[in-house]
Amino acid sequence: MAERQIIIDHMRLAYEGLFDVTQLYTMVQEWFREKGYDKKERKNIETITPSGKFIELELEPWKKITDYAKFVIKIRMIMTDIKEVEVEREGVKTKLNQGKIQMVFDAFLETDYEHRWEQKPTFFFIRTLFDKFVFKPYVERFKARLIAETNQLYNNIKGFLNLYRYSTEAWTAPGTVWPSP
Amino acid sequence: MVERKKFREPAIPDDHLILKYSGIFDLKGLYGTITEWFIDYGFYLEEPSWKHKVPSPSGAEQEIEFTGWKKINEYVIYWVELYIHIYDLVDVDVVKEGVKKKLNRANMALEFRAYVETDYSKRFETKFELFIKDFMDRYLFKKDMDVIWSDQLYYITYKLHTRIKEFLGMETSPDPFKEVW
Repeated sequence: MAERQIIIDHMRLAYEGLFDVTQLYTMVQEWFREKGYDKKERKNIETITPSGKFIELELEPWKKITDYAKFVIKIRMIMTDIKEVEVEREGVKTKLNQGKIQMVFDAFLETDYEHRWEQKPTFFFIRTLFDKFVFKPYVERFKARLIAETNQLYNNIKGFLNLYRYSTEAWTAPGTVWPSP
Repeated sequence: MVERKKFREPAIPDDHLILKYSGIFDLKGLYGTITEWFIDYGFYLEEPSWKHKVPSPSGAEQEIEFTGWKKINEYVIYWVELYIHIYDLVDVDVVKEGVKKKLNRANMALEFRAYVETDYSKRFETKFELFIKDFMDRYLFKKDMDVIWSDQLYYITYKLHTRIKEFLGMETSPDPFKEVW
């Protein structure tokens, strides 16, 4: 198995109020495309419940940095009680959604993703030596880049949700329990 | 006899994509959208199985399998497989813009799989021929498999995924990656 190092572990973002689900999703996917990530939508669930829509998304795009290392950013989004509302802003009526979102970000640095260096114990040993001593500065630089990219995405989403701040929403403390559908 | 399935390279990491939907939709329309997509993209479509279970008080259950294949050249063929599991399926009457329509309400899970198969015409059968095939796959076609065939089929499968999301009117239907391939 390729080695997966956890670089960002469960960074959370919670929001409640007005926003546009479709635009949020598009913004996230566009960001990944611009940054050269490949698309991966592991899970997409949409359920209509009496209190509004329940949407669960699990995105896990990846980007190959070299033949040996790749970035993986995993985002899990759970949106609950999503209702469609009409809002008047500067005299123009627009359709938006109201509801709750919980997002969890993880970032991984995956090395030897082509499994070239694990077929024999000697290869595995050589790989470990190289990882520890030769590639260390490169790996550190990759880690810093991955953290910066994940933080940029996190801030973009936060900024995107802030656009709707004229409404009554409030930032909430990160939740600890996943809401059920 | 050589086991042909081993010549299939999965185009989707983790084997499959999952899409779940629960709500009101047009089952006939969905069927039409899927078959239309396979035809649009030049796939030959087969339906290896269609199961319909007698309705219980909560509704009927259906399992539908679609398999599409498309020859890319003399050596490579694409396979796209879609498995749909529908349960709690009931007919509902919906009035939309003054017009009464018969639609369906159900819970649905869709699984997408995609494979690139090499040597579909079974040219390589003996031990020596298989050795040559292995050499070709490992060294001559390695880049083509990684950069062209697998990648193209991966994004083609996402186009079907998106087409179904659009048909169901899901919030996450826009696809910024649609121009890839």
